[in-house]
Amino acid sequence: MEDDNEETKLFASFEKYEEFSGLQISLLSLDLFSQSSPEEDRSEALMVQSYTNILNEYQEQAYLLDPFLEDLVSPVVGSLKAFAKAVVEKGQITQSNERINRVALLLYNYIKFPRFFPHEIADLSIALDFISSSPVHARENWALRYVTLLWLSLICMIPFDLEQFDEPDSLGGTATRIEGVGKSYLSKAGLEREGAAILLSRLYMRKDMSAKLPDFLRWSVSSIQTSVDPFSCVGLLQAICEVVKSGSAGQVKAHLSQLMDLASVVEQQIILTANTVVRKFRIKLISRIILRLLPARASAARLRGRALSADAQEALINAADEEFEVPDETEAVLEELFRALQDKDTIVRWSAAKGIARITERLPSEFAGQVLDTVIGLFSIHSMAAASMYDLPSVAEGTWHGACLACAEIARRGLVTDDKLSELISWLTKALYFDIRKGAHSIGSNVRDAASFVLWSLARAQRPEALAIHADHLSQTLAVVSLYDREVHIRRAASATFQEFVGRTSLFPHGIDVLRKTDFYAVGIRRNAYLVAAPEVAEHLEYRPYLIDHLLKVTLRHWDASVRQLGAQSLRGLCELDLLNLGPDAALRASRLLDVPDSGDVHGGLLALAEIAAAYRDYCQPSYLHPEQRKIFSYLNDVSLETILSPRHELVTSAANILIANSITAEETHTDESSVPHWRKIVDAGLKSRSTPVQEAAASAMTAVSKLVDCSAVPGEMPIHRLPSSYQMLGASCLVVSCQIIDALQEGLGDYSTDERGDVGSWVRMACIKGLTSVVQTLAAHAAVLPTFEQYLPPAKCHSAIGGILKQGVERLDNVRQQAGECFTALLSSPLPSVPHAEHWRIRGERLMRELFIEHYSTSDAKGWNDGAWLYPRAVKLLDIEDYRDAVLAGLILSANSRTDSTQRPVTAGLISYAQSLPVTSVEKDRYDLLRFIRDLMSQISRNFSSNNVVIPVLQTFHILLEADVFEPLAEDDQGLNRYCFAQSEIFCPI
Amino acid sequence: MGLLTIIRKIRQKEKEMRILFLGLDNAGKTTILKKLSGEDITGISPTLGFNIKTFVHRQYTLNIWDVGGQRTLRPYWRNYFEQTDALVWVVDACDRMRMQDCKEELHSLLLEDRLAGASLLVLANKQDLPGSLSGPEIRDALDLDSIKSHHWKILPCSAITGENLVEGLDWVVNDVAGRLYYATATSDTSSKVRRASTSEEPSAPQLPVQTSAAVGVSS
Repeated sequence: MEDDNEETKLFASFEKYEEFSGLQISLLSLDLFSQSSPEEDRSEALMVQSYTNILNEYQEQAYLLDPFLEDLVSPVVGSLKAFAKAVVEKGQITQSNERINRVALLLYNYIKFPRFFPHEIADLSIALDFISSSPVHARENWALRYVTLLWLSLICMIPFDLEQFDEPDSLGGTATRIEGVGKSYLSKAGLEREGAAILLSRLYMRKDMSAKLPDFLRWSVSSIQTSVDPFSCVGLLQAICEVVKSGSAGQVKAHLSQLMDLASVVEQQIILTANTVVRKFRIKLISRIILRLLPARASAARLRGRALSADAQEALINAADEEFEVPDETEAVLEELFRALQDKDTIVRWSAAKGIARITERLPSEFAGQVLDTVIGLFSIHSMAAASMYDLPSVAEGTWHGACLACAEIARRGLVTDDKLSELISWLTKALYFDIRKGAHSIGSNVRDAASFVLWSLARAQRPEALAIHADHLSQTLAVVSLYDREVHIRRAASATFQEFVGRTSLFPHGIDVLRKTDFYAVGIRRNAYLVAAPEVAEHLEYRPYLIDHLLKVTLRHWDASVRQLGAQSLRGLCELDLLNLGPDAALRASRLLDVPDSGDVHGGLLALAEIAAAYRDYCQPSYLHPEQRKIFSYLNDVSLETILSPRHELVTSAANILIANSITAEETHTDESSVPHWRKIVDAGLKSRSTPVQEAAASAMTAVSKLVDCSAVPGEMPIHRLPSSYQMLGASCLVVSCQIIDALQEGLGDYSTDERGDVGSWVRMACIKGLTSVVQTLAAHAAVLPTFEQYLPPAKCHSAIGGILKQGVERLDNVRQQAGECFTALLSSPLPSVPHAEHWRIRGERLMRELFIEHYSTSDAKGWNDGAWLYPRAVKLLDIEDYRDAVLAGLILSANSRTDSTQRPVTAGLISYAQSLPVTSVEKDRYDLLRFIRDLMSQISRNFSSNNVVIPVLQTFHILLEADVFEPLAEDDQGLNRYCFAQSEIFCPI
Repeated sequence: MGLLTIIRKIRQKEKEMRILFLGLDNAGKTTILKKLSGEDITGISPTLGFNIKTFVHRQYTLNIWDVGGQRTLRPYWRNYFEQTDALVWVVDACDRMRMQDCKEELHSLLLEDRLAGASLLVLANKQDLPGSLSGPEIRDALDLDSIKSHHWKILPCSAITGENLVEGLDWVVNDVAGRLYYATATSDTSSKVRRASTSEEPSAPQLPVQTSAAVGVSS
């Protein structure tokens, strides 16, 4: 969700013009009258597609196309006109509706530039005949219909009397025909309706046709009353809106009562007012009517700008205020517009807001002030009963949004007087935080955005002196929103507003610095805004308390858990600026969140406390903050154990465990001294949880405990079964390890179980590999201070652990091998324990190992143990080392039975070539030979006779080796032959 | 539709232009702007940060961003580049020592992605002082002829006398309008012609000059 597809590319010019016009030329060169083959259809459709694609690239910078438009549009229009002419005059019939529709589609793309349409006198009859011809009526040719209607609407504007086109015997026939065409499309559901509305509006705006407007209005009223069809209602409202907007003011004044009647007739039909678009056009209609009744004035906003040259400046100032009568209808219409500001649909609110602002601009200043008062009054409608903003009913969203929009539109026009600023700004700073919880999400981001819009407008339109007293408050609020809002567009909107204030008013404290820290890019990614930008801004004392306040009051209680999490981390970042002073207070305030029914608040509070505790822990003099640390731990009492342990509160459970991990002190571990005696239960529950994050949190808590207490973690008591995290924890807590831990971990290496969660065994094994490694490493590192190091880590156990890791390192799962490989390499590189006879703990065959895995590893292009082709040719050589031989062989055998080609192939190839390199017998004791190899294979079977998981792979291995004639040399050796036969009998006898 | 969209639309609708005033420190950027707005130009101290000034010129609204030129502020320039339509690069024509510096800054600036397409006006300021470099001299010193990526123009000017200030911005406005508001910039003249030809029926409504920008804010 973050960073919506980055910035779109900025173009300097219409670079693709050549390609674009090329496509157009080839589309236009087609014969519009002949039938196209399916292939042609396909390729032509593709051309239209790539044509549209190019156009889309320039959507944001459409102005770059403007210089080329005339050259582009004219040929398309010409083609359409020629086609129409041929159809109308020669009666030609087209075989291909697709092609002409494609031409129309090209025109549709240019539709915003109707000025390039031909509008000669002769075109009228062509267009009028064409629109009733068959190609236009073909169902799929909607674009053609739309384009032709627009063409007709343009021709309608020719400055000649329409009667000149009439046959002598039927005067007015042309006008009636155009009207008929328009009305017939007015109730269509598609785009034709829009075209028809424009056509009709152009028609009635003509001087020679304005007499027909009353008829049309009457017809409209009756058609609304008789057939309650939203489509036709939208169509005719749109047509009339256009007349009211662009027609003469005299026309509006003359038909005032009829127009108002129309608006009220629409209102009476419930089915119609249920339609959003109908409501929007109705609002447009009534606001435009009033607008036309009021005299136009120079824009106040423009008056504030300064002209570059002196005489132009004078002209601006001379546009003075004149007295005039405000029409009676104004008040009633404004009342309706205020109601529409609270509409449930955004587009209606927008139309009302713009209508109100435009009307206000033309009203005398006293009246304008009342309008603004009323709009500001909307904010308080729902606030009366609500204790805080978060208790507002959700319908308040519409009201606040509408009120903000109207204020913004008014403010943008420079119509807010200085005496209203205080009240307006105090509402706006509330609106900036508008966020109503609704189930699992919240509403109100549109209100926050609109509030930024108002403030942005104020920054542009108001004098800096008038804003000065609000500057501090606004700067803090805007900084908070630009850093801590959940939505990226709100953060950016607030940042843009902040920038506007800094640049226009220079009133914000440290404006430039803060802006640099909270600019468009800095606030683009939430994480960056919370964790990097926020602490930077908080360096300025003017902003710090407000940021902390917002975190504690809003962010930690946010409905989105990830926001709470980031908020807690951000709080830590802020507190670390002055930990001794800020930490205790923030912790106390965060603790108040713990004693509420909302588990979200509890979660936020716990997270915040955990983060502060972590800050204490990492502080340069931790002992100084020891009492505070204990205090944080004791806050855990404020949460009922029930809340923490309830199965559906995983977030809370995990947060509580993290809190324990970060804040537990030595005193607390003694049950009788602990301020939270039940903490063990919390950790216990965490370890038993099925959710991995909770397990991990609990494991970290356990680790923290073990660091403080000697041997508190006794593996036998721990619920370690099938819990990978527990094993990790055991590994981490090994400062005080007993042999039992190693045994437990070793046992874990043999876990091959799976359940509905997947290959659980492999997780356990990986965790155990890590655990064993860290046990061995940590013990070795502390060997000097352990008086009886040999008892902590007997050499035999150490080597069997290494063997176990190696076995995992050659098994069939790539990720397990990789893990084992990493751990093993780490062990290989660790120093020996600094005790007498350290040699006992040296990894056997160290030189060979280093050669195989470290030296080669660094030179070859970083292939790991997960890559079978790299690993196995090396791994088979491990069989040379007696101490680990059994383990490695067991692992290799399992891999040889793998169904994964990338594993199985290198293993078998490796085993074969290794076995071939072995002598039949060897006299040297530490030299492996073929006979012993067979004997070892056999013993794998005899030790695991009942386990198919072992026996079958061994048989498979024999099979492979036999096929490769590896045992051939045995035939030349008596003992060998003997052994060979014995092996066979050994295998088959029991069966 | 959020604020950022609204800002973009308002800009188009109200025919606003964003012009960035840049240049080394002490080039006279703020003085030029104060002169243009008729303020007192004595005792101007270095600009810390930036100021936005609004001017009205013909039917356009110019939002001029005056960004401080001191070295420490230069890294912040990057923030202000969004939607910049024109760049006015002010040069202290007397500061021969830093002409090389000035050239490098300018050329590296023009590489900025977000300035693509912006018009460039170079103002050779302080022409009222003796010993100032002339327009052509500065053009060569800054190697302006090598600039192919932007429309540019150089004008000698003086913030004290006001020479060429309005002329310069006039060029900027024309150049930007030709790009951004081509339709309206050209139709000003064409619609006059058309209105003249339609004088038989004075009440005929004007042809709707809808440009790409004329999309209602409500959409």
